[in-house]
Amino acid sequence: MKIKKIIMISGVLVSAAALAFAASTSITVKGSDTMVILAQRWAEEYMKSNPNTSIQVTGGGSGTGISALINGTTDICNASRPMKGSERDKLKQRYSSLGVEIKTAKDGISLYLNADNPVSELTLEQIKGIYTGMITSWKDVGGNDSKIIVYGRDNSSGTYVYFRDVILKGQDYTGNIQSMPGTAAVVNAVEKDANGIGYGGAAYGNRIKYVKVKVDQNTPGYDPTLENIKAGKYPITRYLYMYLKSKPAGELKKYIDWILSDEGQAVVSKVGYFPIR
Amino acid sequence: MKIKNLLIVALMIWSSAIAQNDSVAGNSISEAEKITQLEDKLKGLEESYLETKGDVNKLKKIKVSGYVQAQLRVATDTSGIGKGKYKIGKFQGGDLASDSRSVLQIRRGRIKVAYENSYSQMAVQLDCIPKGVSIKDAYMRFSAPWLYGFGIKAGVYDRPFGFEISYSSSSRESPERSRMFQTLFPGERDMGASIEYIPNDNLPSWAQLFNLKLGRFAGNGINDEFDDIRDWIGRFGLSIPLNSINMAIDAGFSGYAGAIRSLNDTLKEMSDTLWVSRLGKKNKEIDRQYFGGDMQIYYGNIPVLGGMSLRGEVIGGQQPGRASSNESPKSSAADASMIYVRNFIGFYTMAVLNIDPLKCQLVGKYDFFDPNIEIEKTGVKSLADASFKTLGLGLVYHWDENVKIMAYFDKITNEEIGIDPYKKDINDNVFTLRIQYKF
Repeated sequence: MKIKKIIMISGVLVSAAALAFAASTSITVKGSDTMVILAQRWAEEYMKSNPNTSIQVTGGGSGTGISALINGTTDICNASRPMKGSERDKLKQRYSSLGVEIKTAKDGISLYLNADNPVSELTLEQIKGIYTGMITSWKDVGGNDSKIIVYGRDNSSGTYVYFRDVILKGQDYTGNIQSMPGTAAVVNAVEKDANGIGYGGAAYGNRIKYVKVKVDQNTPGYDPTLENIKAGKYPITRYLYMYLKSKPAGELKKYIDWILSDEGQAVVSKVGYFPIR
Repeated sequence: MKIKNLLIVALMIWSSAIAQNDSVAGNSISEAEKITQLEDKLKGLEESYLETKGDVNKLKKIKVSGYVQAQLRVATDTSGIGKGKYKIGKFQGGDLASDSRSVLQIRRGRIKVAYENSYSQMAVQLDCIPKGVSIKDAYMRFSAPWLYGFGIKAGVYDRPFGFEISYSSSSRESPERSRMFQTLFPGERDMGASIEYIPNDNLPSWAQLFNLKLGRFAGNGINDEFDDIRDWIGRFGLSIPLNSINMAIDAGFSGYAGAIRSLNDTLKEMSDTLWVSRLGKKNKEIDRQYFGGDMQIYYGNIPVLGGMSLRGEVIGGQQPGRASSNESPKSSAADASMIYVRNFIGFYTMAVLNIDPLKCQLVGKYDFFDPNIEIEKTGVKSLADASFKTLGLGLVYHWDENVKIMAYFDKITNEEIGIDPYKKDINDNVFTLRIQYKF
């Protein structure tokens, strides 16, 4: 009889604890720094028309957001890169789910230069050369005879991973790269550094000069504009994602549906990214 | 950058104060000199910042993780305890003391330190419990992006066989592994080296469907090797993600081809349903061969609840055991007693249902192991030949990202064999209440 009592008491305690922490009405959003402004605008707009819903948005990077999703400390993860296989495996292990991926916007990864830098175009190969340390002087890409100061993001950033995987073809960044904690910090650094180059989302690049990106020397260069990205001409475009543990329900579903609606997609354009439709 | 900005502001305030003092003293410094001074100081700070950043980046390569499991286990039986009739709980976390029907214990206290460079990794994992400290893992791994997912691993680590061995005890939804794994792979680890193909995300999607681990191991767990026989162990895996419906199917085929050396001239083998002696076996290699298949199905779109998984695994083969045990070698010294060769089969099937709104998981597991398929029931005269069925039911509650609580009941049914007290099913069921902290 004693064993039965222990089982019953354990069951009651576990169930009571579970119920006590269930039924949260607020939505937490965590992840990509590239998307943090966009996510904040979405939350503000949504809460205006849904005052009973509380949405908390924080950044930290796509990797941090995905870890939070796996650990169960966020409802939505913002990511500026697709989830890695190893991350899906962790989610699968804990929740028996591959996660639900939602494409929310498009972004062109911009290459930032200081406004005084005479260089205006770079090929994908030149960009790779600069960021892997093979090209170290602006002279080699048509600029002044001065050392290139390379700025990038830290490794928790989705942009860092996307840039390494797609532009550097999986190679390591140069050891001389200056890692910045956010895209705004990259923009600030390049703005002040005449020999600096940085990368990040288009929505941040208001105070610096954009580089026209060319696939190779024989193709024209394109600015990361809405027209070029929509037409598929700008070579470095990516989706901005939201990830959830499983199929959304209730308030979470309502919020996601709103983000994908015309109203939500209008916010995407206002912030400086590109709607998915 | 924030720190840098703060430093600049601090320097400006400081220089302004100096300037005021200088002005009061009538010893004014020109603006150009002040700027030069500030620039020099800023350069010094930048150098110091870069140096610190370098140190921090080096430290980021060191990763420390660990977990502690504290638990209460209670046996349902009282009749046999204290009378030396039988032990309870060996496969549920260790035998209970003969005069006790419950135990409060630290089941596992793991701490893992890993150092990860771009192309290499090393890790050491210790198990620190009141009984003592022991090494669980000590390995290095080498890989590089241009190797397309191929890598080399060497040291002491999980044997690449099946699914449950490499499924961490901190993540597992049942307190212990299945009886067949505890018997065939005690301690899960072995010493050896292997080639691995674990596809990375840059490979084409078809190349990400496969994975492979194949290596040679000492065959003696984490203990010192006492012979020169090495065993081949490998698993070929398939991983099929069906992202559009949030479903995944993983499967694998495993093999173990090894041997142990007989130090006794006599070997026991089954002939029909009888043990027969084979002579002239001293210093001969006796085959140790297993074949296994495993499958895991995950589905993540159950309305309201979240996801669920179904897992199953089967292993069959030949095990060179001893008269009273069918366990694989796990000692630093060679055993000179007679080897008993048995053909065995074992399987388990398991279902885990997530209840995400309550942060819970419901668990059901059925585990069967027959260490000798050639004799059964009253023909079985040793516990080493008796089959066992274990039905486990549990509830796991994830308190937060670090803490989980598990309540789990194992109903164990033994084969009714020809020796007491196992002529009928003994009452050796065990309830486990566990709390785990993981970081």
